[in-house]
This record gives sequence, structure tokens and C-alpha cells, in this order.
Amino acid sequence: MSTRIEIEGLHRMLAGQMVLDNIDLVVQPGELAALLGPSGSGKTTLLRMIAGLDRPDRGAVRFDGEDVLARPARERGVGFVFQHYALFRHMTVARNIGFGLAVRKVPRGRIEEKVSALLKLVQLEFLGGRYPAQLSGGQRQRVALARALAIEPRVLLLDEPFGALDAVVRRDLRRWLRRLHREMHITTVFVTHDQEEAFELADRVVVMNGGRIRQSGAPMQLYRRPVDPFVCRFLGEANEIPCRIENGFVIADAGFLLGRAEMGTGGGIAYVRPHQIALRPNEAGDWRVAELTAGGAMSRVGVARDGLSLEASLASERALALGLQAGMGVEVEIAGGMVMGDAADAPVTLLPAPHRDRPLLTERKIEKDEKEEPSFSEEKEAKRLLSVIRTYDSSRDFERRDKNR
Amino acid sequence: MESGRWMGRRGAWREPSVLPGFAPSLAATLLWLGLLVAAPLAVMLATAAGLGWSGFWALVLKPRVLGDLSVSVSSALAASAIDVVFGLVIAWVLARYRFAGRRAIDALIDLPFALPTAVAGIALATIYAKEGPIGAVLAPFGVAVAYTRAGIVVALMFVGLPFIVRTLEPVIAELEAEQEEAAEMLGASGTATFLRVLLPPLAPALLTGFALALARALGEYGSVIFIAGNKPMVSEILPLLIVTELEQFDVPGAVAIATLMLAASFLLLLSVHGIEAWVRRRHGG
Repeated sequence: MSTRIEIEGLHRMLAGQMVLDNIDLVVQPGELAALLGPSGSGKTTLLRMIAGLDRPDRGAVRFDGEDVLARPARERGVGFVFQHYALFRHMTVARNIGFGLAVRKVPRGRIEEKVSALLKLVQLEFLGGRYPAQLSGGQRQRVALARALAIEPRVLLLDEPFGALDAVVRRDLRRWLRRLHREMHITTVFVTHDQEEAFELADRVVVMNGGRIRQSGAPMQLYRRPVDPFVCRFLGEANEIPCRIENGFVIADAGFLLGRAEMGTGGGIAYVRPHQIALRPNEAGDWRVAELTAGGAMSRVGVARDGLSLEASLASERALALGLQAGMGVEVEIAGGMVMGDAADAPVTLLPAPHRDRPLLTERKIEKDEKEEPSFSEEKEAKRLLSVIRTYDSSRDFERRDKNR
Repeated sequence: MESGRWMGRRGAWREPSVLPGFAPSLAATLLWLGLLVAAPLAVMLATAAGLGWSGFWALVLKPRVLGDLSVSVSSALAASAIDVVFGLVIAWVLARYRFAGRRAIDALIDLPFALPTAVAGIALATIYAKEGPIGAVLAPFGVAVAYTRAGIVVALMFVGLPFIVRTLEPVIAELEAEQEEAAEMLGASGTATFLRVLLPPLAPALLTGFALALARALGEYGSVIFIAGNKPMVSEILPLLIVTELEQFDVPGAVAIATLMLAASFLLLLSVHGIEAWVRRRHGG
């Protein structure tokens, strides 16, 4: 039923600049894919090429194996939702939604039926007679979506679909769109610069920069295993710690043990996300709490030792329970991360160091999982990552372990 | 209920406003319009009223007057209608595209505003005469422009064009290109996109431009008399007849015809504005 999109070797030069550089991408039937990247990364251009609103210098775009580049946009069967909706201001909501059917000379009765069904779908049953100017941003967005769906497109494309909305509306619409996609199962690609949005909505996230695809995969896979520093930084904050790998140990240049690594040797940078840093109050610890910012559910804690400062984040409840305060001494444990640089060709996973006299309870389990990696499947990977996160979370729970002892 | 006093003043002739300066600026407006517009018209109407109904109709209901009125109105309508079509194309090109020579064309548009109309009339007559560069091309086909009604239309098109272009240009510039792309994505052909998506938002501006060009064309004199044949009831416009009557010191006749002309123009413009208001309302502002 659903259409598979294949993109091969897509190139586009504009004013002497490479806008798209050899793009290869396959979007599976029924998949919801996000093109994620900073502005100027080429993501909107790529979307417009799939739609037919822009043409590549060379390369191929295929729907279910059929080359669509030769076809004009209006014959590709693509539903497109524009960033600013592009609703026809002189038409009512109902006529906007029915436009694609009206130009296809569908009988009026059929159009009315379809429009009322779509109005129901987007939960705007009573607004069919209004003009776009009389609607809120979120309502306009849904009208634009209904209009795009009216032509029963093979492929749905959305350009920054929530960019122009305020935070609360954006969150609600995101969830609603996710549900809608699950029901309709139409192959969908959307463009965003917001990694949170990409992660919450998409089955697959395609990270772009400088006209190239840097990495593509399930959100969790990207977050846990970024292939390069750009992807790592773009997908969320990370502490960057200069370090080197020696005999399976990762040692910070500032002179302390960060953790272990199963391969690689030489210099690099360890990328550790704030939530991968666990803290335990200990006046004899090497670290001091430099800064404490309590904000809502999560608190941020800046910790420092000579020549190095890190940022950790933890649930505010935990921060309270631990009695964290600026100036107090703490122990820091790095529960995970990636090392990238000269040490190895590919990023190396940073494993937790055995903690002094108590080896980590979870250590063996992680090792076992790592070894299963060759038989890679996305579902398995997601499950594995989930279990790893759970073990990391429990490994952070010093107090409970203390009790258990 | 402090505000009740204000809300109760619905019947007042002026909406309450915090903006100062209403009284002096309204006074200036009335004074200025009175001196410049209303006073001369009032004098004319008063003179016409002095003729009495029967006297007025006797002066106006003459074949030559009615024939010239029909020449004036039909030429003005035709010229404005043609201007709407080509004005739309020109405004589209100027608003949408950037090309070498665009500024020169842009300046050229305003020329009919600035040129003494007699100069334009003489120039047009020269070009379209049988010996002129365009007239010579048309002559073998049996088409004569200068000294015919076609000449009147050409002159009126010349003076009316800038009104259409200048009215449409900013409105076209404001249309989002995304709307056309949206129509294309929904499967609309170029024609359907133009007729259903682009034209409706332009309709009010098109009508405004049409009304302005029509107003100008109805009142135009200088450029027309040089190119029109000025043959009564065929290629003579009503303003020329007024001048002719005046030259023969027939002031009552001139005033009666002028009043007729005023009434006809006023009714025409009123109906165009009526249509325009209706279109605007229909498109939800």
C-alpha cells in the first residue's frame, strides 16, 4: 500500500555552492522520517526535490522504483504542507480542503463528502465555513494538513510543520500527528531543526549538515551512537573532555580515570551527556559542586576540579534527596559516552570504570550485550539500548546500592 | 458601569477615540474639499438648476449630445477594460521578476502621468496617422486608428494604464509564491492556478485600478482631441462638445452638458465601487 521513496546520488549546486552533495536515502513504506539539521544544511531543498518543487543537477528520486523526476510536481501524488501553510485566503476552509479535488473535476457531492470526513479527521467539523484569517495557527496547520491529505497522496511531506506555533500547541499537534500517522500509515517525511521534535515524532531521523547526510537511523541509535562530533553535539548537549585511550582505559588529559574502552589507542575527545554523569556527595571527593540550577523536573549541576568543569543533570527530586549544594564535595562517575578522535577510526563507546572497591553491578551485563552486536537489528538495538539505559540509571543510584550492601 | 456612558453613545455621529486632533483635522478636510471640489461644482449645479427641468432636458436631449455621450462612455469603458488586461501583465512582470532594464520600464509607466496630455495626443496622432510608423503598417489591412473612434480608445488607454499598473503592483508583490506552489502540489494546472488562486485576491485591486482609469478616461480631453476625428456622434467626445458650446458663448448649453457628464461619471464610478466592495466582502477581507 504505502510508497517507498528512494533517493540516489542527488546533487544540487546553487550560486557556486553545494546545496546537496551526493544524497542517498531510502524511506521505507509507511515510515515517518525526519530530516534534521541546522539552517542551510540542505534539508528543505531535499524535501522540495522529493516534491518536485526543485530539480537536482543529477541523481534519481524514485517512488516504488519508478523514476518521478521526469514528472511535474502536480503529477507526483505528493501532499505538501508548507511552513506557513499557504492556505488560499479567499477560500473558506472547506473550499481550501476541497481544492485538490475540485481541480480534478471530482463531482461536487463527492467533494463535500470527502471534505466533511477530513474536517472530522482534523477535528475542525464546525469551521468549514470560516476563512483562514479567522483561524488560530494550530487550526490553520490542521487545515493545511487536511488539504494535503484530500488528494490521497502516496507521500506526505511537511516543511517545518510546527515552526510557527507556540510551545504548547506545538506539543499537542506533534502528538496528534503521530497518532494520525499511526492510523493512516502513509510514508511521511518532515523537515525540522528541532531535535526534540524529530525524536518525538520520527521512526527514523536523518541528520544533515552542509548538504550531506551525516547519519541516519532510529532516534535512540543516533543519540547513543553518534558517528561524529557534529551529530553528537547537534542531538543534545555533551561535555567534551580531552582524553586518551591506553590499555583499555580512558584517561582524561586533566589526569584522572574516565572509564574503559574495548578498543582504540591514542588521543581523542570523550563526549559525555549531562545525564550520563552520576554524582555522590563525599567531602573527600575530588570534585566540587560549582553551580546548581534547579529548573522544573531536571536540575543541572556544574561540577569542577582543577582544570576541568563538567555539567551533569539529574532529576530535581534526586538532587534534593542527595542534598546537593553549591560548594560541597562530590564523587563523579561517568556512566557512559563516546570517545572520538585519533584513538580509533570509528567512535568508541566509553564504559564505566569499576568503582574503586565495588565493581559496578551492571558491568558484566553490558559486556555481554556488546558482544551480541554483529547480529544487528534495529528493534534489538532499541531494546538493548533501553536495557543499557536502565542499568545506567540504576548504576547511578548509589544510595540504593549502599543500602543493599 | 463607568463605561456605560460611552457605550450608550452609539447614536453619536462620531466613534469615541483617544486620538487627539479630530476637530481641527476634520475642519481642514472640509474647508479644503469645499474650496477645491465642492464650490466649483456647486456653482455649476446652481447654474444648471437655473435652467429649470424643461430647459435642462431641451438642451441635453439632442442627438449630438447623446451621441457624443455614448462615444465618451463606451470609449472610456473599452480603454479601461483593455488597460486592465495589459496592466495586469505589466504589473506582474514588474512585481515578480528582476531583469536588466526593469527600472527603465518602471519609470516609463509613470510617463503618462507627467506628460502634458496635448503632447501625448499629438505624438499618438503622428504615429497612428496613415503616414506614421504604426499607421503605415496598419493601413494596408484597412485599419485606421488616427481620426477614428479607435484613436480615442488608444489615447484613453495611454492615460489610463499607469493607474492599473500602480494599483496592482503592490498587491501582486504581496502574494506569496507559496500559494502557487501549494496549488501546483494539489494538482492544479497553470490556468487553474491563475484563475482560482491568483486572480481572486487581485480582483478588488483590479476593480480599483479600473475605476481610477475609467475616471481619468471620462474626463480626458487634451490627448483625445488631437487623435480623434472629432466628427459629431462618431468620433467626438462630450468634453469637446462642451468646449465648442463655450466657444460659441452658449454657457447654458455647456453647463447642461457638463451636468449630464457629471451625473453619468458619478453613477459609473459609484457602481464600480459598489462591485468592488461586494468582491472584497465576499473574499473575507
